[in-house]
Amino acid sequence: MGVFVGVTVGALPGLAISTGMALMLPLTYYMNTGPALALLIGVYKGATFGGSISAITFSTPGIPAAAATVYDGYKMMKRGEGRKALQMALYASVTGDTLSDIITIVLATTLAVVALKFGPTERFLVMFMAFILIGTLSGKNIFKGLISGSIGVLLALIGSDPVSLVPRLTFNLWWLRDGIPIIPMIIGLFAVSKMIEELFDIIERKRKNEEIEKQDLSIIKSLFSKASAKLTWKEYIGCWREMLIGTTVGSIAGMLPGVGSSGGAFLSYGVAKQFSPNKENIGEGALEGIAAAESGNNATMGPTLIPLLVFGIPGSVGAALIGSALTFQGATPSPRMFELHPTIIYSLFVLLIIANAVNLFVGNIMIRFYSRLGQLPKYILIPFIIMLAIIGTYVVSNNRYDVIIMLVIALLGFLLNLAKFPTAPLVIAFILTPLIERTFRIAIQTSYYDYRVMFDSGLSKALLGITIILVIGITKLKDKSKKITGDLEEE
Amino acid sequence: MKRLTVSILLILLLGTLFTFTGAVLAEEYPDKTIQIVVPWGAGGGTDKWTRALSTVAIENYGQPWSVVNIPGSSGMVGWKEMLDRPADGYTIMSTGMSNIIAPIMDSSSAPYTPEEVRPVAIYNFQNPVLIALPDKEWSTWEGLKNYLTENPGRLTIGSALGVSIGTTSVLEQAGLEANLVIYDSTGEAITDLLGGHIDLAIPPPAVAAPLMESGDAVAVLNSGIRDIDLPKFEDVPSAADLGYTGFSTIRWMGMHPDTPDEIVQYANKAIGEMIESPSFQSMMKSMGEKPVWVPLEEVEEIYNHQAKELRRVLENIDL
Repeated sequence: MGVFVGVTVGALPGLAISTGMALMLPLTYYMNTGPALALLIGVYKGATFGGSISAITFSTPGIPAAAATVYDGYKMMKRGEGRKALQMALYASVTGDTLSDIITIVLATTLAVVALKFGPTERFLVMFMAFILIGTLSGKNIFKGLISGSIGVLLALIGSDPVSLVPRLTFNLWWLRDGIPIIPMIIGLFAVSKMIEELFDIIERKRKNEEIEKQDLSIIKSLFSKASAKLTWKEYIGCWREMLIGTTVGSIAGMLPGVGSSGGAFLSYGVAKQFSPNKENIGEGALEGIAAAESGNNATMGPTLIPLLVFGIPGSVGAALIGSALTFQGATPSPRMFELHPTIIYSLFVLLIIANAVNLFVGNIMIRFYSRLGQLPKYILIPFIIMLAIIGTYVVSNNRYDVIIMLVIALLGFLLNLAKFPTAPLVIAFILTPLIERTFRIAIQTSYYDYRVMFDSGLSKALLGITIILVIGITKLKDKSKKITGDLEEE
Repeated sequence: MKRLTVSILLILLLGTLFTFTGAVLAEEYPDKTIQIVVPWGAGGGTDKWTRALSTVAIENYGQPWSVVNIPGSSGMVGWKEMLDRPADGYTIMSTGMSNIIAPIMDSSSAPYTPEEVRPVAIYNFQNPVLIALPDKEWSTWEGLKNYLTENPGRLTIGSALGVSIGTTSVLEQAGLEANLVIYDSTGEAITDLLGGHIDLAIPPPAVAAPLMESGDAVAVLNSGIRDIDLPKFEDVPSAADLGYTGFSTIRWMGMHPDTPDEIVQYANKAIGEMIESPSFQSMMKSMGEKPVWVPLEEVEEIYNHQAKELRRVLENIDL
């Protein structure tokens, strides 16, 4: 069920994974732990693959993380090898995902044992590391990324001061006391703002009396014609290097809070373009490119839960939403999760693996069906999604103020998109800011305001060291992937 | 023509209804479903208690209870919703401490004061326990007192805000000073205690009990106003034993401040019957919780004491 919704959500451009999950989250309030987690994980995984469907068929990534797939996928589609490309995307997604889930299950248990060593200072430094990473991975234009991140920080500071509980930046509005809740934030910023944009687009075109563009049907037809070749076993195995790269890079990217699946996809695509034997053809419509990008973005799925389960830190918006669902089920993610809620953790692990099998099965059927859905006329799609967003926001907490917040954020998101500011750093900064602030203040308070505590333990020194190495390493890698992104933009 | 007739009939009908409801309100209460506003998300502590209670509503309250979650702004949205509805006893708020704390901290913009409610029932007391790792100098109350007298402020206590009030108050009465650090959740504070990053923590008894059982921690003080009826807690000194005034966090229910007395009295008695019903008792026992029933006069007395004490502590301590 979850995968079904997920692939749909992913296949519809403009509906991000987080949107799909956020819209599903209220439903889990009325479910038991098992089905609730299954639904969310299904949407989470399904959407990440689903995003590649529209990326390949229409050259429009359904989700940001599928952007790297467009390059090779759409070229193959134009050559009439669309079915092959879609299947490669599916199999690479499932392969990368399954391998990384196994890594998660093995590593998370090990990491949980050392969790107690992470005191307030070390937790702060982990947050600090994640925060630095947003800066280095915030898109093509670092300046715009930083501004967007800063807006995220400012929005996150609205609400009560976490220590003295004095309200700040609330404009003396009592209903802003707890700050901006995450669901109105995400629905507003991603779903509704995108719809406002589309709406203006349609109005603009109507005025110019242009016909609403029609998709080139011959491309779609090639999907269903007998002539279009299936992916062979040999071709699948031939991409093992790229899938391995995708899995490794994706897993590491997933484990680090704030890097996320887009980062995983672009980084592994970048690495594959450097090291694949077929590197000249990657970007010219090669299966290897799809394999690297898709295994890279799906491999972040499992590991992104490690920081959540071990430290209570959400590594991505998706993980944050799974975290909310866990909290609702009475299992607030914390370092003692493994001790307190072993059944929930292990059912989560089992679900991670099962979801892959279901994804493979559903994906195979949906490849045929869903590539058509993206063709739904926009004038039907837009009002439907806006309605869904408003109802979804209200239903989460029966709180009309949340709807106001959501609409204001949607407007902000629309303006940011208009000015070509990336919204990802905003959301990541928004999620990390309260965490970094709390951990920092607890660290400083427990050490009686002695700032030297930051360098006290071996662990904190090591964390600082890793942060520095990461910043240098990623800046270098970024130059490489920037070139690729640059090429992509020119297309 | 038909439509007009229907509209006139409807208006007449509604008019009669309104006239009647005013007159017979108190005598016939309750004659329809009661809405219970829980100002917290579904699945939280207060929500679980309230939903468990609602299962025995029809037999004991005379009408079913419909639980609505209205979270937001530390519970202020739900409280305001209760105030916006008529004072007819058909809306009851079931809550804990945070939406008493919020308007105190935020008095300039809060939409109500903690006095704008008619408390009708208190159904649970939580007596937070101050715990430490075993074999420390401060693992007993005497030891803690001596240590803090010699080293004022040099012990770190980690706690969530609500449960910290009692300990803060007792330490203040004893003239002691400690380094209180407010955590987001009790779980986080306990993790830091077990990892040796802080010296003391303040969990509720249900969380402290397994740690005491396993020998990972010892209880130093019961800062609540009631004894804790759990094994291993017999020898833990309570605030009252030491001659101080304690403070317990409460779960309670309240109605619109203008609700007629008869309705409030009916509600207090009926909720008492619900609490004492065997099926509710066994349900709470399986959850490891202990319900209480408090007569109406005492409910008001305790509520006012809690609100006053909260105001005093929050305005005096430097968090």
